[in-house]
Amino acid sequence: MHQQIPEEFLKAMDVQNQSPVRIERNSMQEIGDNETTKSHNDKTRSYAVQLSSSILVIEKINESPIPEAYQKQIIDQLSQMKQQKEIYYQVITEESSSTLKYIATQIRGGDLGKSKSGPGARARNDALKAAKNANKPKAAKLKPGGRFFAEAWPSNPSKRSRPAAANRVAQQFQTAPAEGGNGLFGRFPARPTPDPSNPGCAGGPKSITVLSQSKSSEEGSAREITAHDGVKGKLTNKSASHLTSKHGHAVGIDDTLPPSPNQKSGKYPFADIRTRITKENKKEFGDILEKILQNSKTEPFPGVSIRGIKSQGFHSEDYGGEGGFFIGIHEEGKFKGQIKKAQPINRQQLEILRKFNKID
Amino acid sequence: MNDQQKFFKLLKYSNELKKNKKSLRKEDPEAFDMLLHFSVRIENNLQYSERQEYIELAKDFLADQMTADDFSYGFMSIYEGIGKKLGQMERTESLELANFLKPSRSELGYLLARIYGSCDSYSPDPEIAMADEKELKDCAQILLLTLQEE
Repeated sequence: MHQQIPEEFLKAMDVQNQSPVRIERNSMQEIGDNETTKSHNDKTRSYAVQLSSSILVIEKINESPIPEAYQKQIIDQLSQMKQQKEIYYQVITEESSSTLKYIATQIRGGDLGKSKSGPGARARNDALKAAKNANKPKAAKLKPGGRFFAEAWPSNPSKRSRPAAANRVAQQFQTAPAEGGNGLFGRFPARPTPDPSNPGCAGGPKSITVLSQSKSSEEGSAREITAHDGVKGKLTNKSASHLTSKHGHAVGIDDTLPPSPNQKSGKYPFADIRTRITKENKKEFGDILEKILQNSKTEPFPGVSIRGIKSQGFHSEDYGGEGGFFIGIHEEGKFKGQIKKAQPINRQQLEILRKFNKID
Repeated sequence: MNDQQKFFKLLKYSNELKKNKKSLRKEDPEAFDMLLHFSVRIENNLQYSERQEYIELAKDFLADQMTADDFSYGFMSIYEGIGKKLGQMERTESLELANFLKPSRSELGYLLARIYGSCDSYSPDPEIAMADEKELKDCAQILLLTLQEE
């Protein structure tokens, strides 16, 4: 029976090599279940397999010895994975960006959000299952009991909320962020910073990259808002989600997410500002933006620099933080015509806005 | 009239106007600018007095104890929370404000505003993100260095 475990485990490793995202939780779970059914006492061989990053981590939970032969097999599998990873690196650094995107798509599962059977979809499903289990007390009891599982969540309990398999791999192989950021292996230039007085956090010189404009389906479903001075801005669905989540609380949407169990208790708990993303909240947020933009008391800031991007800015004293509320519509770059800023500002930010006509 | 007296006079004036649904900026732009100058000074000193919150957050993030997304919300929460605290003190014309009127660390104010911008621009969705995890890590590192060196 002992041999059965590593054999099953190695089979799973083969599957993993075919599609290096993660070992399937289900197959590992199944082994565990069989083991438990056969002998409740035989809980001496437990493996936790976490492929949340490109490095495979194998933990042996209890102290029973692993035969040397199996150890060697596992090590061989690991070295194969390492070689595969190196090939990816090589291809990624040599090939064109389209190839890079293709590879990234494959690694993410390719069909994420479409197919129900691809590795990406499975990883996501497992992450969802793990999320459900995490809220159940019995899940906590299973771990020390030595059942077989592959964690879809980070093993460190203080890491919060992100399904590792579904997200960290995607993050690791992420191509360039939509507008700037160093992206994968630093191949991509930093975010656009035409404004030399606004060099970003790192402070060093950054190149200007105004990406070509492309009309996505996102833009097609965007909500268009016209300000009182005739300036138009589009609020795309994704931007509405992003801005509602980050700043909904600042305009009075009282629907924040509860604190995570792992969250540190500080004076300013961050869960308090994370607004739940719902259709209603997004609509309400959009309505408030419309109200602010259409109010003649709202002060326009033409040509304002938003992190170096020339934009149309609007400032209201009636909403938001102690310095009011700021809305910004990009006038150039990939997000031209889109509302990309809608945030409360404090006194310091207000002073920067008024003195330098810019906002970070 | 010293800074303290000027500040409390302007604050009182501004609060009275607010009660009457008027804005100091529109009624008296010069007075508004002066009050804003004092408020920024107080805010920066308040931010500095709460530096331990920022330090812990940056350390956790740099040690991979939290995701970039959580760091972004965490930072914004602290930053906004301190702004709110100042607002409350100003509304009640708290005498405690005088303790924070000393010359401020303006560089810290600019740095925090910049990091807030990075946090606001961060999204796990690369399609809409304007800042990535690397940028946030840079921010956390600079923040830690700035706050710990003083």
